[in-house]
Amino acid sequence: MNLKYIFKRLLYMVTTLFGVSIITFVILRVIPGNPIVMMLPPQATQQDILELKAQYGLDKPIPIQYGIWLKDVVRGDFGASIHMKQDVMELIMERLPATLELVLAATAIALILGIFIGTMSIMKKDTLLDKLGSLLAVLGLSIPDFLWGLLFVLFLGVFWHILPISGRIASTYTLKTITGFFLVDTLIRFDFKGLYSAFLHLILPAFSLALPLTAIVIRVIKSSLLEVIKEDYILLARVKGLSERVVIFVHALRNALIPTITIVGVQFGFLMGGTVLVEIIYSWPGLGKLAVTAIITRDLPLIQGVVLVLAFIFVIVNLVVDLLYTIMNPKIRYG
Amino acid sequence: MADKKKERFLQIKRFLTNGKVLFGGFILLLLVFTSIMAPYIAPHDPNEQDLTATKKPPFWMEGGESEHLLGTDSLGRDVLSRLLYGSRVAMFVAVVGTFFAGLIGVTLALLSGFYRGAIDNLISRFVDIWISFPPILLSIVLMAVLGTGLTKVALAIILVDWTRFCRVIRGEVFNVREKDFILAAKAIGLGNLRIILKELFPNIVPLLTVLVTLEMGIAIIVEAILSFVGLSVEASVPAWGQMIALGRLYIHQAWWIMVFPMMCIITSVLGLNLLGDGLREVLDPRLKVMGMK
Amino acid sequence: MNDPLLSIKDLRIHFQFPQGTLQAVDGVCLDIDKGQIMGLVGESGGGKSMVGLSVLRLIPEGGRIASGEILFEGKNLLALSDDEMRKIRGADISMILQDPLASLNPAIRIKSQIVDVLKLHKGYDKKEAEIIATELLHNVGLPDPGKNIHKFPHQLSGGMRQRVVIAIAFSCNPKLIIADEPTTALDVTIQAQILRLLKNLSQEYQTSVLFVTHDLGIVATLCDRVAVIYAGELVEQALTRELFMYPKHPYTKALFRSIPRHDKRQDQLYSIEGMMGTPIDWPARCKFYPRCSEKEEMCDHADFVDFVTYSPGHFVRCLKYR
Repeated sequence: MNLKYIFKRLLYMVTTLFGVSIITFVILRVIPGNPIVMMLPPQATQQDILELKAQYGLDKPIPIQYGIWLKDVVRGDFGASIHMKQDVMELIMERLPATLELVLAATAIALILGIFIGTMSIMKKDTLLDKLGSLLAVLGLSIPDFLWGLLFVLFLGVFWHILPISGRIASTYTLKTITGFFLVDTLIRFDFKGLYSAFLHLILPAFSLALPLTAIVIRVIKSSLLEVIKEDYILLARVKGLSERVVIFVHALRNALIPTITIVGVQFGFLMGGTVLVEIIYSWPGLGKLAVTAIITRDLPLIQGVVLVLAFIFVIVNLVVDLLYTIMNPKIRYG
Repeated sequence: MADKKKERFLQIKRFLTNGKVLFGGFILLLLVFTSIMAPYIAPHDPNEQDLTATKKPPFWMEGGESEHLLGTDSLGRDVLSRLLYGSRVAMFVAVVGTFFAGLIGVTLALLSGFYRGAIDNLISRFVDIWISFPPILLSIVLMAVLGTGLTKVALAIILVDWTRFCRVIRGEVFNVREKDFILAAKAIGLGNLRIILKELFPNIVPLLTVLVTLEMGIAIIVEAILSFVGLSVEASVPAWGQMIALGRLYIHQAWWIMVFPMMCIITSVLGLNLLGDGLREVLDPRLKVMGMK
Repeated sequence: MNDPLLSIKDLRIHFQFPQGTLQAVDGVCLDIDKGQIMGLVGESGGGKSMVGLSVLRLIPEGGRIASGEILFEGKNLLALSDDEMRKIRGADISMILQDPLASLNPAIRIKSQIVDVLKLHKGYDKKEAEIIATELLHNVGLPDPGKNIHKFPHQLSGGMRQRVVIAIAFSCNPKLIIADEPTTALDVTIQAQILRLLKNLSQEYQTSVLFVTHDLGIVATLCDRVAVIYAGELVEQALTRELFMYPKHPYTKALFRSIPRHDKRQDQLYSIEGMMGTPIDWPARCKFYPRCSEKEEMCDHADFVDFVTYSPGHFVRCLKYR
């Protein structure tokens, strides 16, 4: 882990973000129907439109607009939402924890479930558990998150009212949030009823996102384990007389986890930008929903802000995953 | 020469006996069939509204009738007919989207992998930046820019998913280009273009085939996602995703409006994925043989 | 000498393939006494590794022990349950593999890899086990054991790694160690050290060793007795000295001829004609017949070749000595 490497990565990140923001900027200005027209009453005159355009700086040539925007962004100012009349950064920070909590929960579920099923699948090959695992793997890949979401809503919310299907917490609650993570906020207040409610509300949306990822984890774990099992050190572990459970869970898994974590990490990055539909279905007040609303109302500053933040998260996650890999792989860490 | 024929025969036999290929292939053929034959086999006009017979359940439930086998939606339109016509949208999007995304992605991948160096750097950078865009949001933004319509949807899919082809194929190209026959071809002095087309490309075809089936499933899903947000085809065109989005509003009274198109999507994607899996097994039989030291 | 420690009787190991049944081991009989170092010599694919693995019942997937008995201290190992077998592995019988880098788990420190055997079979707790492990490493000649025990395998040299593997093998005072080409992957200079170590430890703890190798030179220095294996069958067995002075089987003789000589000028290195091939569905007759330089008329017609006693303790499977 040397300085030169870190510097190169940071430079890489910055240029990527530049690229993303430029592309977004350009695409959005090509958009038909502009927010100005949407904001004004139908009787608005051409003059009104021009005035409002100037007010938002939309009359200047694109490169200059970009320059101004960039200057502000560097200072941390993402501008104000045209439609919602609120500071963009504020809006994003309000919704970000909701999406983060959802994605973290989904990733945790996928890891735990996937590693367990995948490993048991290898240990008890060709048994019922193995077949079920394979089935889940195939289904998880074929049924996208929003369809899982709809299935859960249908069976667990509509037909049988087992779990809540809307919002982050029971509507009777007004939660004073500190971190924005409901599970944390209720816990630190010892508000166990609130914690329970928040937990229940999290289950279905998290599982909807988790199942496709679980399928991926199962596949990766199985293929990694199959590779690792062929190695001599696994034979030696058996020679030592260790039970099959120890051989697989301690010796084999330790090595198979490395590529798994890498892939899951990358998927986490993808997931952050992909919560849109699940948030709509479960009325989850997160970034995805915000983004879609912004796009439909052509709220340029908001769209730019959200896209940039999501791209930033994606790039950061990739960096963390790479660092994690070097830490987890003793050959690199203790080279 | 007889050996080659025998090998070809064995290959075909492997294809036809693989369960996944059979099932997935069947689904694909079914899809092709319905999309072509929809106008001839659909019992009703998919847009024909009948406000006297709205939200009728499927025929096996109480209140259902044989006139509308799978019931009607909130405007009295026949669900079955809409499903059949919806397969046309699905197929169009899957075939056109996949083909062009593949064309762009594979071409860039071949160039990137074969020439390496500056060209590879440039293309890879471009792909990296493109991938940093949350794909769902990107497709939504594109649709907002392009406007609604079937061809626009296909275009959005192409613009978002070409990177998948590019990345995966590029990796494979790197694998293949180190092989001896490439070096041999270069040594003989064959032109680069010829090497790429005649030596390199045929060797990535197996992986490409698998990727194509995968992508077709993804295209169908993306169309559904876009429909959900209201940014897909025009309202007058029946599409599965749209049916789901509309059906969701009546989930309590008429769940079938949403469920049947869901099942169509799931079956299609499942079939395509299994087909891809099966093809991978057949084309790379080394994976199935037990190794021995 | 009373009963042998290990007695392999008529062992047959089969692998099922679509093309037919692979007879990897075809009727091997072998006895090893307490404290004896038995060499098992043959070329690659001859089945020698498989014999070693079968003693621990760790044959790779796809293979099965078709028939035979493996008596260890009188008990038939093939009749034991999985649990009973696991108690024996690592404690009474242990194994050393060829590549020390591949034998050690790259993601786990050396300490844990020695301590786990001690904890499992001897019931030590963490602290005791670590102390004993450090001492074991010292006994096998690992420099600075206190420090190296905390390292990862890739941080040690090849010779050091193999010492660790040997330490693990001897850690629970096993009665028998199966060594499968333990020096093949090492530098020549290190090889001699490791062999010496093995011999010393074996004498000190009175541990029997089944030493599987293709290298006759090693056999000469290390082993008390030698068995030669070809295509899954033992073709000759004798005390080391006896075999080296009076090799009888044509294959054994050919092996000796193949060794490049330092003392005589050789214009051409001798190699045995032909290839062993894969023993799938072989016809029943002398397996070495196609490559034998001393074959006779009768060799083609016999469909079974028995072990013959050439002299006390020296057995040959060849029709010429009937």
